[in-house]
Amino acid sequence: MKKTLRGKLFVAVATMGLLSTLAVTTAGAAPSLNGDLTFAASDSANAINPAMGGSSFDEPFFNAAIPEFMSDAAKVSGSANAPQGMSLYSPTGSSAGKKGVVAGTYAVGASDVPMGTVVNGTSLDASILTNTNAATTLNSYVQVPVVLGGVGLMYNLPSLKKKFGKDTVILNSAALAAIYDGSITKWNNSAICKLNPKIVTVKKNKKGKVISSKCALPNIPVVPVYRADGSGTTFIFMDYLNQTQGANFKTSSGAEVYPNTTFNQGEVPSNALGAQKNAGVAGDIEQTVGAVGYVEYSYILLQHTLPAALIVNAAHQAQVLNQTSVAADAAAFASKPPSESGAGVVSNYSIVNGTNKGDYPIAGYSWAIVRQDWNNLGTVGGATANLNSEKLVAKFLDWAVQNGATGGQNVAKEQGYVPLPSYVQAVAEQQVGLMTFNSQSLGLS
Amino acid sequence: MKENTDTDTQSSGSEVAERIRRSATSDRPYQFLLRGTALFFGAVIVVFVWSVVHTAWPAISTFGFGLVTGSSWVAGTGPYGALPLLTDTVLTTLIALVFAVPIGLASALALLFLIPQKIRSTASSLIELLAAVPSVVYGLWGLWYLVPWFTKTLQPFLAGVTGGRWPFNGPQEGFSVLLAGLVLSIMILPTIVAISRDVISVVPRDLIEGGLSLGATRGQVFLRVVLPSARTGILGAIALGAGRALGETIAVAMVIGSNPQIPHSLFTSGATLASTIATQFGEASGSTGSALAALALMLMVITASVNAGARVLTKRARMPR
Amino acid sequence: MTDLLTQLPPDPILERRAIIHARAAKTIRRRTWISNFFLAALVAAFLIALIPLGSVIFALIDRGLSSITWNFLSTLPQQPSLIAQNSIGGIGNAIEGTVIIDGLAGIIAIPIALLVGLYLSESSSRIANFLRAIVEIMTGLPSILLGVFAYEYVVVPMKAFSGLAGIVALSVLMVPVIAKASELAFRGVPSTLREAGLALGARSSRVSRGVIIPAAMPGVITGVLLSLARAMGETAPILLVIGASGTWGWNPMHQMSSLPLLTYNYSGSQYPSQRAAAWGVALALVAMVMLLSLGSRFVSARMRKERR
Repeated sequence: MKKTLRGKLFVAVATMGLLSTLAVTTAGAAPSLNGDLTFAASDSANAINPAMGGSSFDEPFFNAAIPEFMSDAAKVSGSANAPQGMSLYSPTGSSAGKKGVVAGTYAVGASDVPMGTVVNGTSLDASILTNTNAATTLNSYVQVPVVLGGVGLMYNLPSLKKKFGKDTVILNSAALAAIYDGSITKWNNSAICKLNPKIVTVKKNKKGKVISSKCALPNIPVVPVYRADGSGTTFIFMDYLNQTQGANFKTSSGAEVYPNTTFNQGEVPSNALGAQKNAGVAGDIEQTVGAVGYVEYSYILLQHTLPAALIVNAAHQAQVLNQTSVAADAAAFASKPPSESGAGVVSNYSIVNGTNKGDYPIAGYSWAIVRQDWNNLGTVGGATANLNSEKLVAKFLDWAVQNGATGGQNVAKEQGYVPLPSYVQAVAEQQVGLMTFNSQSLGLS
Repeated sequence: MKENTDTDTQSSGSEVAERIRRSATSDRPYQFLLRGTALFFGAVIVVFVWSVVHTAWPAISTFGFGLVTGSSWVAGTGPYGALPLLTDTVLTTLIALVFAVPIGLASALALLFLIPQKIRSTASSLIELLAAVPSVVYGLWGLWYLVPWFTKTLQPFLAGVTGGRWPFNGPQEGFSVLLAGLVLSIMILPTIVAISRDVISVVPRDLIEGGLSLGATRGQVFLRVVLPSARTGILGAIALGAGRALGETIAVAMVIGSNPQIPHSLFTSGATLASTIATQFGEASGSTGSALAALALMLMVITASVNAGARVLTKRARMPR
Repeated sequence: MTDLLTQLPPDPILERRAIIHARAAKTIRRRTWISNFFLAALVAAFLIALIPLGSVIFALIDRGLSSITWNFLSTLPQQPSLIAQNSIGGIGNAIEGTVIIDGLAGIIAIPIALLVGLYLSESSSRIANFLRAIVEIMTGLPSILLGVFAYEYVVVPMKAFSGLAGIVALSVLMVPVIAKASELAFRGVPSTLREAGLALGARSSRVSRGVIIPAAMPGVITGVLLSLARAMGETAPILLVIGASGTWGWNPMHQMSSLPLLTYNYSGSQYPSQRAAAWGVALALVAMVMLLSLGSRFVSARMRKERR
């Protein structure tokens, strides 16, 4: 089942890749990159160890990709020339990724929310992007989309599982907004019942005619679980509610809630549970009957004991979260690729609430953020900043976004992510291509 | 040095004294090394304290006392009020003391007077082993053994017995100040046992024997004679234990639920000063980073004063009367 | 005889004595019973104190032992795939990193701490008293504070997470512990020994080297090993400063892996395989820490025996 799906996806992505390559070449915006793995002895790549870290959403990808990159490069360039000692990725969180790359402690900082994203007139990164020097200016950075994934709504209703099997509860953005602002307090609220016409106890008369059908959702409190720490997952979820519900997604005092990396004081009902990291959210849901919470796709794919809700998308379908439905969501935005005009300009890119059929509406990219020009930086992520180290990082990112037989997106697929759609892959390559050393092109092929 | 050799053979008493004095003064490099190292380490401590103050300064100058008295802590955007963290820190420490002090004192008495001589040293090494287990291992154990036990057994039981009344009301999600306090109590137990055993062991034998000869039972002697006469030192032991509990980080971060709020019951999840620094410092930038350093400063001031108090108490207790 | 006795009027003194006896017996019985109950409660409390230790060790062995294989201890970590659920590899480089960080921190801290200890034991000037107070307060300071220090003063200026930052944090943590233990050990050397050395005309540096340090050796070694053991298990400062590593590497200027940090990261992992392995990592860590603490006991006991 999974294999055929993946096969289909692969074909689809490959065709789209071809098309977009054509489009980009004709536009002449940037050279297309193909995952350059050639390292010469003069690159002294085997002595360079650039630190990477940030979003925990990316950890499986980077930590599978880094060793794979080193072994792929060794096959192409020989183990003497290829990078050998790259450290693993530190899953310290999206904000830590951005903070690290600005401070220079990470060569690559990853974030689920593009750096410089402006919400309701304020930049989320105002504290690090102070525009006092090049390091604190947004356009000193390139932002490379590296992986794509969805956010699932996991819930704990054991009584339903017995009667109706797994993955049965359907929710929509209005219900979710009402749960997270506290206006829906019970599972058998009429709004949720209406969404779930199949979860009913049916009474029939002797002839088999239905005389009454009653909502079978339990009469227990809904306990929303949220991330207490700063989280890109929170941002994607709030972004979805804000975009679909606008002012209907409100605080208890009635003000519109704007997406952020944390829920602020007063934005969640008093019975909500705050938890640390995805694991904490999943743990809280597992231990609290009636709880519902948002977790990244991997928790759903790993098929924990708990089910995930189907979400009603813009095409009015109740959609399950899987690799296909996230790919469908990304495909809905093919006409609106991230802006390509220059470095640091991909902020405010969101793909929630796509309009395609089969579209799972709560999804997002994660971005690798790198300084565009390493000249005169001293050290970057513990490595001496020079042409060689910058080239190594650029080659790694170039390889990471490739779909080919030895590309990083293969690793992403094995890790359960959705491979980048080709129009985003083109942007990724374009961003890597923008990297320079002392204003000279790095000359990647 | 050389001119001394001639006089050596006929040196008088005062010359010997002079020589000793000289040999001490000619020992300058050694003294210099000792003082230099001590000074160097002192300087390191100054830099260490300075680093925390310096990092915290922007937050202190911006938010002032609001940092201590503010009742809401939201990383990233603010407000930065440490009151919930301070309450959780103090509450978990108190819970830890409630468990650890009676058990610790009882264990100290048992180790000194009741456990047969043969197994005494083994028994006391077992308690010391408790101190050798790293904090993260207690966290792991708390996370995967105590959290399920709390949610399935202890919390429903406590809520059932009290009818869900305060302080056993609220969510039964395991992660709670109660659990954090319980884990802390285990971690500070070895400190309390070791120090209180030391101070109890210097209670004069005559006092104990006097009590027994007046017809008091051993239990009465422990309660009425031994503990009261060692009370200063025991207070010191408790203060040292409290100091450790206030600053314990990883184990607490793993079981408390990392949710900064002023607790309304023992089942509330929370966050302490130390656990908040550990879980948020990596991601913090700008004012959040500085506010976290201010938390570190508060933690430093609190633990340093508790430890200083403990030091005075235990020192006084060990003094011969 | 008997008749005679029974006919006698009851002796009031004897009667009173009997009453007193009866009363006393009663209260003594009651008091002894209460006392014994109390004593039993004390022993019971001691046994309760051992329950967590038993439970932790049981958990570590029950859940951790199955992970421990030569392969696990000697290979590099591997990222599990969400789909294939493959092996998570080993913890070889985490063991390496732990030993290097702890060892180098010890190499930095031990000489400094011994000199500070020596200084404190020989001097009672006001400065020394002040430093002594500071050292004692430092021994109880939360280790997370040293993480903040190492981050601000090593990671930020060097613009790199590194083993070195961890070494700095741990060595500052170790110095007061060793200094305090060694000061006690040095002070414990009978003053007659020192005076004898000085009376023979030796300089105090010679006396320290030749007499005091050797005599205090068991105590010093115990202190050193215990502080190494304590530092090895520290997670909080390490968490903020050493980054992550999936490769071998002895160079402390680079990021490193370490057992406590790996235990922390694996404990909340979304991969069931990593969560299970967290116990194996923890078991390896506890084994290394216990080895050092038991080693310190053994060494000091051995040396004391040799002395006799």
